[in-house]
Amino acid sequence: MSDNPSVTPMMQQYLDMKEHYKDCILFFRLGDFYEMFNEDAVKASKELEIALTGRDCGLGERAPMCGVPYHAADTYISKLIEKGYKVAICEQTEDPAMAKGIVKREVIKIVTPGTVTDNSVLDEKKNNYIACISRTGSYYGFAAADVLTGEFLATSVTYGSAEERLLNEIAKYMPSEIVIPYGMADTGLTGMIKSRIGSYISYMDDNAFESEKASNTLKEFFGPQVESFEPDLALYAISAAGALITYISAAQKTTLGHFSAVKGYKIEDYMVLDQTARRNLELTETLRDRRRKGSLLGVADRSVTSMGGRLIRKWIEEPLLDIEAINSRLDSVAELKEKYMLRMEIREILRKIYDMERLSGRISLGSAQCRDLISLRISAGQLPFLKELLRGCSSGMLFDIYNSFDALEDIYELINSAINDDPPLSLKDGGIIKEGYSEEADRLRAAGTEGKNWIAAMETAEKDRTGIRNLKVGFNKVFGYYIEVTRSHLDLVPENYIRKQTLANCERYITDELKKIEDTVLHAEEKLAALEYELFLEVRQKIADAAVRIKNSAFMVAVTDAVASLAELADREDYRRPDVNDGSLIKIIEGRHPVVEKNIGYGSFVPNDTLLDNDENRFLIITGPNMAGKSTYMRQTALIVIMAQMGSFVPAAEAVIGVADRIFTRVGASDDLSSGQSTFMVEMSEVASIINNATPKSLLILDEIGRGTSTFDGLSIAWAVTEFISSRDKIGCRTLFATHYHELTELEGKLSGVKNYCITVEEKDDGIVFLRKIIRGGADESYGIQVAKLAGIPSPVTERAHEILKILEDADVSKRFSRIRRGAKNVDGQVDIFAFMNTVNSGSEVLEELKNIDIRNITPVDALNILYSLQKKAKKGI
Amino acid sequence: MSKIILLDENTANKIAAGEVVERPASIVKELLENSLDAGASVIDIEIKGGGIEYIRVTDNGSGIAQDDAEAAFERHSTSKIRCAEDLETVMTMGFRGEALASIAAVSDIELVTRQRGFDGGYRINIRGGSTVFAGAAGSSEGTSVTVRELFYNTPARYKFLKKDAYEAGAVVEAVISAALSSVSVSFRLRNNGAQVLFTPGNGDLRSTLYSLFGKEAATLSDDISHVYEGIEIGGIAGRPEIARSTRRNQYIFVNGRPIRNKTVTAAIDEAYRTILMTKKYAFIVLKLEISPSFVDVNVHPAKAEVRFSENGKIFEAVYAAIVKAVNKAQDIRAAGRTGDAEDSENPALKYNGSAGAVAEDILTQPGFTIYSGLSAAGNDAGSTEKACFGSLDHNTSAVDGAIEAGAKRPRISEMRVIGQLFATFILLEYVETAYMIDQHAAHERLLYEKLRKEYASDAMSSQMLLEPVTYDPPVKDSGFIDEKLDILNKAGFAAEHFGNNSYIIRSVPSAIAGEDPDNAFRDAVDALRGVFRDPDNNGYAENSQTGEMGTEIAAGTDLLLYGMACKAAIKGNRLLHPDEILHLLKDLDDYDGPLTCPHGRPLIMKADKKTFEKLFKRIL
Repeated sequence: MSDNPSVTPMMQQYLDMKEHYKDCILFFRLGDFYEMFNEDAVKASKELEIALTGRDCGLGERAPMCGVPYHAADTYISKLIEKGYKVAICEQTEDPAMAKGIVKREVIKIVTPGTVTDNSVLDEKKNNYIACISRTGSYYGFAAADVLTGEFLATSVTYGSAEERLLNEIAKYMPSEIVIPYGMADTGLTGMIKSRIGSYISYMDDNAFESEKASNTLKEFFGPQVESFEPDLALYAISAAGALITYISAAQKTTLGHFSAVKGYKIEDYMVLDQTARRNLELTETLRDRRRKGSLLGVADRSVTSMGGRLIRKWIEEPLLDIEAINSRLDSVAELKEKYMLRMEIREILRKIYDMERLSGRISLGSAQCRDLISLRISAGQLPFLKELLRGCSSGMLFDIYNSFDALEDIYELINSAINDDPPLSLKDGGIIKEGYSEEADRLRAAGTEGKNWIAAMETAEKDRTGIRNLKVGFNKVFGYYIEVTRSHLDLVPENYIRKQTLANCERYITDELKKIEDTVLHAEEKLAALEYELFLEVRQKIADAAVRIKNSAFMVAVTDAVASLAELADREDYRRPDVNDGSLIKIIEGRHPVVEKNIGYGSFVPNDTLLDNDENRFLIITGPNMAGKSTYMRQTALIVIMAQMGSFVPAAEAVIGVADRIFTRVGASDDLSSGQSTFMVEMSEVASIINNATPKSLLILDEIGRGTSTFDGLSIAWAVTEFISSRDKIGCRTLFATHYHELTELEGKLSGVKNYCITVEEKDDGIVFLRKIIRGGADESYGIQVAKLAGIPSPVTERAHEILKILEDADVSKRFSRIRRGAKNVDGQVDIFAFMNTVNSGSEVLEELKNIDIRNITPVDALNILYSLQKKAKKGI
Repeated sequence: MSKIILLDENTANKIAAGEVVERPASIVKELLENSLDAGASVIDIEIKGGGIEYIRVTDNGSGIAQDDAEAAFERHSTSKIRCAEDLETVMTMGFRGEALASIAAVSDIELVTRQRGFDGGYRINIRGGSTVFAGAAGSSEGTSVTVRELFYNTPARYKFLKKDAYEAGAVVEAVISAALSSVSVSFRLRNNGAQVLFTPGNGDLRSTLYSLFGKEAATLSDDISHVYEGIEIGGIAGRPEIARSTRRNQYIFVNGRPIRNKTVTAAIDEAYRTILMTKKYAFIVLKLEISPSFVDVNVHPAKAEVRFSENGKIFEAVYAAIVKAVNKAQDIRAAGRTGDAEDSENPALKYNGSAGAVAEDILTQPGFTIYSGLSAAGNDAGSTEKACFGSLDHNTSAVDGAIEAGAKRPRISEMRVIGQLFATFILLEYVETAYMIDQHAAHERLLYEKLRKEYASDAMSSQMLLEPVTYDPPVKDSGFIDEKLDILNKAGFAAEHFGNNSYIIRSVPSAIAGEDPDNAFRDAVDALRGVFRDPDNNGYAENSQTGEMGTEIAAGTDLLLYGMACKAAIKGNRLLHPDEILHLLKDLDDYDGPLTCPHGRPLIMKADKKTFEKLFKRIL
């Protein structure tokens, strides 16, 4: 916009500034308000539901304008952030009273979804991540940071189907904002991020991502430590990390003292769980309504501090692979589980500790208030007690914490000596600094008090001097201090009294001396307020310098809380310690589903065993009716493995867990309509992904493959997939496969490693009862119609269904031959469905038996018995 | 024509039910006993509607075989004894074979069970005595019994049930009892969906106490461990600091069974007599292990009472066990206490076999109980204050030695003044009784009443200061002070706003004219906020309440006036001139109100002549 001479200076200033912040809503400080103009005003007025007015700006028609009061700004800013806007905050940087011409203004902060620091919009048990992606050729760099806690991580994706893997890694963090170079703006990847993750996307100039520049930025910021990246990873991760730091610094416009390091990691350091698996297993959110309650996190999180809560969440999302690390966690959990009273005491103390991580962040960013410092002091005050409690602990993690615990006594002392225990909300009105901390402040305070004392003493002095017995010295806001004399004594008023105010029954005077003292007092009070503010900033800065120490102690507290939380969980819910090792055996005795068992009342959940390895038991086919518990069984196996690898006790009487490097799930039929894929397509792409990425150490949960298409197609695909996955040459990893294709039960004995299981059901005259027990063997019925009846389908429909079923079964080849198959001997070589056609009419067990009866040598009674048994068999169709 | 007929099984059960199945708590008790006998390590209990509507007890024990499950509901069936002789050696808890049958007759009961090592479970549902369902069912190992609609078919018994809250309370007590007895079992209790109890079941009694009663019970107590002639006694004895005002927290177990027994109770009382204030009862968990042949458990239908074949031995054993436990603790405390030479001696274990024998220590005499109680109970003045502050039963802390107002008592003017004892107490005599008055408490109470009258009739006298004084409160308090200026003025402080965050004080209440004006003002403001700074205590008693409760505002003003009275009154440890003593006594004589300081401490105590004579062994 060119300089238009008739535009007012203020508006010009606004327009100039807006040029630089086109992608934000600009909050322009005018007096006690933040004002927005033009399009910003129109947008904001709509989103925030505030009045849209106008203002003369010298252009003829009024410019649209709307504003919010300065002290309530945070709520409005948060609302805009939630709606996906960025807000640039422009403050007056000089005192309006001193300014010549228009007041100088500057943007001091840009608030974006990933960089909010206002507590009211943040979930305290969840980190708020801002991420960044860089691309070099077909490889990607990825960095993520939490502006408030100072966490900063980076990794790269350098092989395989990089985009898919990158998306899964992003999904792990679910960042609220992602920074992408302009060059990637229109790629498919960006589109997928928008649809699958839903983060707010910010763009940045490509040159911030340039590796040399990014590397320098990091070096400047962190020092030489950046060399600690491994050579390969280094390049791509550095790009993303450097760009991210640049972006955050620009937005916050402060130093980021609490960012102490960038932690490089490999995605394969943790169990790989793609987005589908995380969702299907409902690790941190339920599938249906994306809520915490009903997920594993909802059940497992018993933490009492925010930091502990966030850490538990992270532990669930990043199950470990390193046996030692896992056992180290388990050792500590075991110790606190056993020591009941110690655990209770620890939790009592933890309850009194505030969110030190975020407090240190706010202090570093310069936005901490007095209350925040007091919260920090109270928290620090508890640390010595916590340390003392940890003294007797023998398990590695807790022992190490005790030895390296920094109880921040000096921070406590600093705040305790400097800041009043119950400070006011505002920073500029004094009342912040304790007596005894600063000589100057004490002096000014005393001066104020002395002055007031002098004035009070004046009352007695004047009484004596003038002889006016009822003379009084008073104060009011308008006139300040005065001497009050009633009408009856006006004659005694001395010369030096200057009349100030007349009232009905008295007159009020001042004297020069009084005024002078009053000025001193007021002056002292003003100076004191300003000094207290300075001192506060000083104290805050000193604490900010120790931000890294505070963060470290906060981390120790978080770990203690997380361990105590897992111990509490294990104690309350009767979990046992799993034996985690590098082998391939997964053996679970009396396993239970941690979430489902809480929903149905203690003792009602029927526990089940699981036996999986890379050998004879690597592919388990589970058949049986729907709703009977197959899915729950498979999910519980996966959850128990995840819990074991996160270092938690598990809901089972006994568990041996051979570590899994990834868990895949293909569960449930969902039409992913938004991305234009049908159920079957979705399923096939998931299976494809599995086949392409699974390793022998993976764990697969497959719930119905081959649905969503015709029976024969589906059966064929399911069959082929089974062969492929179970084959040790191809994948051979541990797999649980639930299916309604009973034909697949034939594969036990044909393919190595395949075992059949089914879920037990008892059939009664009026329906079926789910016994919910998993046993060896294939189910021969799917009881689909009975289940339909249980679900409420009316009798006429189900009865007719039975009739139709009978007809179909008689005609159905596969059903018939499976009955025959059970009687026939094993056939060597390839399993061939059609070969069995030839055996349909011969080999029937009943006929065989009949043929073998020796009629001459049986009694009539025997004959009847044999007849009875033959009839029974015939009815069953053998 | 026979008029007498044989009742059918069902009816007979209903009748028997009346004895065994009084209320939900008795059902829970029976079911818990079964679970424990089945070797459970976790027992989960859930009740709704006080247990009348719904009770579920689930355990992870050994489960019941199908045939046994059915037979269990027949009367007098039990797996626990075979014949009457077995009663002699019965170690299991539930044995009379009545429980399940009785319960089934008067409710809708469902049993789901699965034996350890078996795949399948079994479910049986009986309503009012007839089987509704019996068949296979899914279940985890162990047994779960659900009782619904108790007494649905016996309206007479139903009417006898109390309100839900009461019944629920009884269930809670039953579970607490079981949990204390079996500390290796984890008990969980939910009432109307909310978790009420959880014990860790880690085999440690202290942890169980912690989970049920909190940190104090677990830490302010001592282990009991004693053997006496084949009787083993264990448990935990609470220290006087955590004594209660009722017997509710005395848990007695014999061979794991919770019981009531007069002999044991008497032994407990005797053992604690010297260290507890009267009307206070020890917090104690006492477990006796004794050969079954010396205990008759078949006395009470609900097995709540037992008979010992040798009461005397029991008494001695319990008494000795407790005294031993408590004394160990006393030694430790005595070492840390300042001043009191007599207390540091062990009350000697001179028990010689008959209840009520006197030990040779001044501390054990009833008349002086209150003092030794106070000093033994606390390590510092602070905790003695606690015993009085805000205690619900402060009215009963006027111990039996104290005089209740209104009770027939002689007028002080009729008593003979002996003198002043320890510069703190005034000694008087009347006929065959000695009276002791706490000079500070008495004066404080008199002043307090006077100030209240004056305040109420707006006649508080105030004294003008020689020079007005300024007071700068903490910034955030100014608002509060402005609100309360009226009250402060009425109380005798002539104060008004004097600049930013400053006040000028021209007069203070006469009663505290000797105090530092701005401290007095500050204390007054604090008192209005409910914070009382006790000069004897050096600390705060936050939000302390005076003995007389009113609305919140009244409490603030009362506290203010109380603070003034306390400051202005004659202190302890101050020698009084005879005139002062007489003056005080005269005022006290005219006084008609409660004979306690506003905090509930007694003003006057008495000890009769016999007490003194016993002390000197003139009589026994």
